[in-house]
Order: sequence, then structure tokens, then C-alpha cells
Amino acid sequence: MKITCTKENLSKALSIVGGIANKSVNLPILGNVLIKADDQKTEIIATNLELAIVVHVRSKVDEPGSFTVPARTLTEFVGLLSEEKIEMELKDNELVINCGKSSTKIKGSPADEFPVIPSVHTGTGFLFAVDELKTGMGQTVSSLAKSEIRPELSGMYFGFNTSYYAGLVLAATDSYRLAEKRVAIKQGEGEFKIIVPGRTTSEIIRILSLVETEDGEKNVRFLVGENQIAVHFGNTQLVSRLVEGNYPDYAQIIPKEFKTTATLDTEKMTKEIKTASLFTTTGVNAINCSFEGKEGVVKLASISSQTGEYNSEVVADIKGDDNKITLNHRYVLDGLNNLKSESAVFKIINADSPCLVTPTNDPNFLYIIMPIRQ
Amino acid sequence: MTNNEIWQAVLSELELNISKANFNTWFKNTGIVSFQESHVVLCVPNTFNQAWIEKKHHQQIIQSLERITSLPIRKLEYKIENIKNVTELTINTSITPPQAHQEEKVSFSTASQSTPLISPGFSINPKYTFDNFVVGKGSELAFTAAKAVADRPGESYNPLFIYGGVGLGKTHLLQAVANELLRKNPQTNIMYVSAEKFTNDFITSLRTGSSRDFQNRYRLIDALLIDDIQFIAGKDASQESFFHTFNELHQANKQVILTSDRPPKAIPALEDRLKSRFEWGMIVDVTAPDFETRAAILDKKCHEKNFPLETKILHTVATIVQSNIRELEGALNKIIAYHQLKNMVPTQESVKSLLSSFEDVCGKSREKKLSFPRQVIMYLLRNDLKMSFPAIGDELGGRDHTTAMHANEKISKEVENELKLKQEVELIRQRLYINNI
Repeated sequence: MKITCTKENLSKALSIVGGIANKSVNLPILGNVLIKADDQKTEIIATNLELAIVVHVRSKVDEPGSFTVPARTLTEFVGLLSEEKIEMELKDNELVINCGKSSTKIKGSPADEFPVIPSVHTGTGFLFAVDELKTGMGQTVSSLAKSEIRPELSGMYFGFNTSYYAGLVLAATDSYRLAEKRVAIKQGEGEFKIIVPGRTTSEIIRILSLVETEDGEKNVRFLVGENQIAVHFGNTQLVSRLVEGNYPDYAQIIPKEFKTTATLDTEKMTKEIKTASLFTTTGVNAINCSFEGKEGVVKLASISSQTGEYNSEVVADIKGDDNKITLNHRYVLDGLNNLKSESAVFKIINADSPCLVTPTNDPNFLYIIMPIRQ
Repeated sequence: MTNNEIWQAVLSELELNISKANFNTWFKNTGIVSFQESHVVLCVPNTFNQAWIEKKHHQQIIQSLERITSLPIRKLEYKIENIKNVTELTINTSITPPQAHQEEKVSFSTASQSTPLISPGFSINPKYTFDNFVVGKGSELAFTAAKAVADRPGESYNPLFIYGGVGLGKTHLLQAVANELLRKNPQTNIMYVSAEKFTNDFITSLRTGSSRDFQNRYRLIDALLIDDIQFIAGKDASQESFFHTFNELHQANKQVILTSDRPPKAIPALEDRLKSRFEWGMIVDVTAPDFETRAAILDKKCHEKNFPLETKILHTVATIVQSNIRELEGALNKIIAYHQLKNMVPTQESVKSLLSSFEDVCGKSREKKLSFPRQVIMYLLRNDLKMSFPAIGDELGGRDHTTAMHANEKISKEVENELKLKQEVELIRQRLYINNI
């Protein structure tokens, strides 16, 4: 193998794949990246056996071949190089890198020990606008369940062209709160309901933010196959397995009618909730919210036997009955952070029913918080 | 050979040729889904495993399969499927209680409590009911207490503590209560776990920082059933967590049932406050069944399995197998399998010989007159059936795989050196194979 490429291209490719290259006890080679050069192209590949990322790097291939080297070593090394042109050659199980006046040998392992990256041959293609999808996934990803107790909740739900919504529905819940975003499908037909692993969703978001397309391509392509999914964007391709199981029918818990609606300033509310959070009992995180229509305020109160207590008000445009609800500040803050809107709408029924939070500028996003029962 | 046995044999061949790490990474949770004539379908956990096995081991697997089954393999396909689904489906389709699926939906719709919950430990076997529990002298009190608890959970005896030796019906009673409660109200939220699972969940919750999930899971339920609670002894943090869980449930009048192999007082390294709490409700023991009960149990099992045995033979079995009910059922299964295979009518003699010989070889004894035949059996299992060492150890009374390895090596050597032994082994083989044909 002998290739020549620019430092910038190689460095970018390594930063895209580097996140998932981690040493595993069973298979140390997973900490390596695979460099694969054939006549037309060079690919940088990493995998953690749940997902794999392949990046095409523009380069001149003098001699095809492939080899693997530790991802961290290579990434850090390339980052420190000062010359633009990098020559890489495989000699006696070592990767020889010539750059300017320096010459390096990096030890690695033969490519045939590296996992085979499954290719998604068959599947149904979908096209999305990059910005819309990236924002949507970003808004929902923080609601994913962190634990693996219920594997289906540790992944993000993707509903393509379902009877519920003709487009893509993204949903994430840890069963205490739920975020749902609707995204338009630019192209693609067929109904699918899949669960994408949490790790994969973060990597997709990362790729969509990191990869710069040369031709200004603004679309990302999904290929949904059986048990797996492939995402193509610019020079990067991601392949991932899917989470088995059925996603809970969450739509049934979204209330349709409410008794009280409060429209308020997102930033002010965020600040007040943060302040009140200092005075909540750790682990319970309860903040009492009372919606007072006459005064036009939402009163916030928190109390902790250790730190003290806090009372405050946020001005709000309140319609409907006066009402009360107790919420976990962490969930409220997560929701407010993801609204991406100057004002927020809180809708509630009573202290025992879910609270709905929506932005005023986007009908396609909703966030639900389960109340803390007193 | 079953599909599973064939696959185990293939794996043990592959295991020799590739590194342990590779083997564990790529072949974990694989199995044969279907084997029809020359067409084999393997299940693999995900596409990564499929890609690797297909590229690196495809030919090897085909060769192994051909060697083991002596059938030509024309087509080997892969399918991504959870091995658990595959085995469960083929073994028993009705093992999961019908409530399991509903449960999930229900808990999601009641999620408005901010503390939705599911009981993942939920694995109550509908097979165990009060109706098919044979009451004997040793289990009369336990049975009555369990029934009372099922009738009025949380009111009559709380906690109910059942103790007794292995295979005497503790788990049966425990699950019977659960089934009865579910029958009355399918929405009842029952947590049925082993003490080990409780400890593991607790540790996981500490590690992942999800102690709230843990609390909700164990505290917002209608009944908590813990099997083999003695395993919690010596695990201080788990004991404390259990103590709080217990108190909360008890205060809310939620039923708690525990089983153990000994009374609370005799569990070493168990905190006093837990001991006293266990003694709070009702402590009942189940003791080994007497002769009549054993005979009655056998009779019931025979009816369940549709294989009636003469009363005399039943009595013989009940006399030979005295220790516990699990062994009793094992003995019965053996008798049924043996006679069905050979197409014979069971007689007192055949039953007697069947039960006496096999028991000893699988037993604990290390006397030469038993240990040597045992080693020869291991040798034959390894060389003729190509069973894996751990499987051989399991088969012969739960021995370690190293014991099996040692036996195989030893007998292999002796067979080479001693003509007499070689002849004997050949004789055994002849008898085995001729009988089979």
C-alpha cells in the first residue's frame, strides 16, 4: 500500500471516525482504524461492532492495499504534523509516514484481522435536509434513556411515513419525559418503524455537524434495511445495527385537551428554574409550579431541608383555570433547552397528568414531562 | 442429534482453531435455526457477526457440519435473530405468560404517575399453580399459608417466609401465589426475582447512577417475591437496600414472600434487623415428602405426561428416590424416555436397573469402581459424540470441564497402551451402536 494525501483531509477523516474506535477487552483491534486503498479511493474505517463509519479520503493511490493502526496514535500524530503533504506506505507490518523532513513508523495489525463492515445492499432510501434532521435529532437525543434496562428506550424511534404522520417522526423517552419531532421527508416512500441505538444517533448528529460537503450538498441519505441502517452524507457513510423490539405506543399518553395554557419567556423561565433547582431535595428535584391566571404569573417554589427554600414568579399569559403541578427541574430544563424558541407554552390538565411543553415557533416539536405525584 | 447439539459440536471444533477472544466476540449467541436436508440456516446476533462469519468461517462451518452430521451441506445461510427467540420458540411456545406484553402497555399508559414501571424480572411460569401442588405432611402448613396469602395479599401473613431443602416445592408455592394473584387481577404488579437478581440490579443501579429507577422498580409494586433470599447474606449494601424496600412495602401493606434453604435464624451474616423482620409474619417450612406423598406426586406427574405406570412400579421409584421432588421428576423422565425409545413396557426390573446404575455414575462418589467407568463415559462422549468438555461435565453430575478433560486424556492414553481396556471400550461401542440400529 502506498498513498499520498493532504494533512487536512486525513485529519478530518480521523476526527470523524475516531470517536468510535475504542479498545475492547476481547478485540483490541477495535481501537484501530482501517486504512483501505484501492485503485479509485482511500477509505478510513472504524467500528465498535454496533456501528461502523467509513470516510472516503481524496488521495493519490500508487499501490493499493490495506492496514490498521491504533486510532489515537495516528490521530494525535497527524494533528501535530506541520507539512501539508503526507505519504503513507506499508512496509513490514509498519505504517511508514513521510511528511516534509520527518519520517515515522507506526506499528499496527494486518487488515484481515479487522471486522468486516457489513454493507447494506438492499433497503429503502430516504432523503432529508441536513439542517432539519440534525436539529430534530439534537432536540430529541437528550431524552433517551441512559440505562439499558429497557433496550428499546435506549434508542431513538424513527417512524417513516406511518399512519401517525406522513413524514419522519423522531421520538425519545426515558419514560419520565418524552421528546417528539416531526421532520419532512424530501424523498422516499414506504412505512418503517425502527429504533436506532443511542450511540448511533449521537454519531449521526456528529457526522452531520462535522462533515463538509464539497458540492454544497444539503441532503443526507438514509438506507433502511432489515436489522440495519446506513446513512450517507458527503464522503462519509455510517452503518449501524438497529435495536430489536417494538417501541412503546407513546402517542396514547400525549394529552389532547388541557385545562390551563401558559405562554412565557423561555429564557426567564430557564433562569428561574435553574435558581429554584438549587433548593430542591437531591434525587427528587421537585419544583412546585402554580399557574395563577388573575395575576398572570407562574409561581415557582422549591424547598430543601438542607439548603433552604426559594419562591419566585415568571410572568405568563395564562388561559384557562388556575392550576398546580410539581415537576422535576432536570426534565424541565432539558425541555426548555431544546425548544429553540423565545417563548414556550406549558399546557397542563392537573397535578397528576402529563405536562406538555411546546415552542411557539415550531408546530413540529413537542416535549412531555411526567409530574411528580405528591 | 438436535440442532443445538450439532451446533455445539461445530463450535467446539471452531474453538480449537481460533483465539478465545475472537471466538467469544463472533460466535456468542449464534445457533442453528433450521436444518433441513442439506440446507442450514444459522442465526447470528447482528450484521457485524454475519459479515465476519460469512467471510472468514463459512467454509470451515460447512466442513464441520458435514463431518459431524455426515450429510452433504449444499447451502448455508445466515439470519439475524435473537438466539433466545429461536430456542424459546422451538422448545416451548407457551412459556411466557400472556400478561407479559400487556404489562408493558399498561405501565406506559399509567405513566402519568411520573414513575412508570415495568417489572423486567417478571418471569412467572403459568405451569405452577395451587391445583397441581401435591400436598403432603411436610408441606401442608406451607401450602395453607400460601393459599391464605393469595386470598388476602398483604393482610394475612406478611411477610411469608418459606424455607426448606432443594427441590421440595418452595418455588412452586411462590409462583402459585403469583399466578393466583394474576388470575384474580391481571393488572397486579408482581415483582418476582431471585436474591441474586435483586443484588445485581442494585449494583447496576449504583454503577449507572439510576438508583431512582431501581427504587421505583422495587417499591411501586403490589407484591414482591424473592427466591433464595439467603444469597443476600454478607452483601451489606444490598441488605440495607432490601431493608428499606421491605419496610416501605410492608408499611403500604404490600405482600412480601421470601424463600430460603434455611430459617432466618440460621442464615449467617444476615443483619439482625432483617432477621427480626423476616420472623415478623409467618415462617413455614417444607420438608422432604414421605413415601405416600412421593407416590402421589409421581402419579400426578405420570398423568400430566400421559404415561401411566403401574402402582407397583410407582412405589419402587418412590422407594429408590427419596431426597427431593426434582430428582423424582428426573427419574420419571428417564424412565419414560428410556421405555419410549426402546418401545418397551416398563417392568419393575427395568426401572430398578435404570435408576440404580446411572445415579451412581453421576453421583459424588470418587470410588474407583465408579470413577473409572465415569471416565470411560467421558471419553466416549468426547470422542464419539464430540460433546464439549463443559457439556460432558454437566451431564455427569455437574462436574468441572477440567475433570472431563483429564478423564479424556487419561483414558485416551490407557486405551492406546492397554489392549484389554481397548477391547472393552470397543465392546461398549459395539453394544451401543448395534442397539441403536
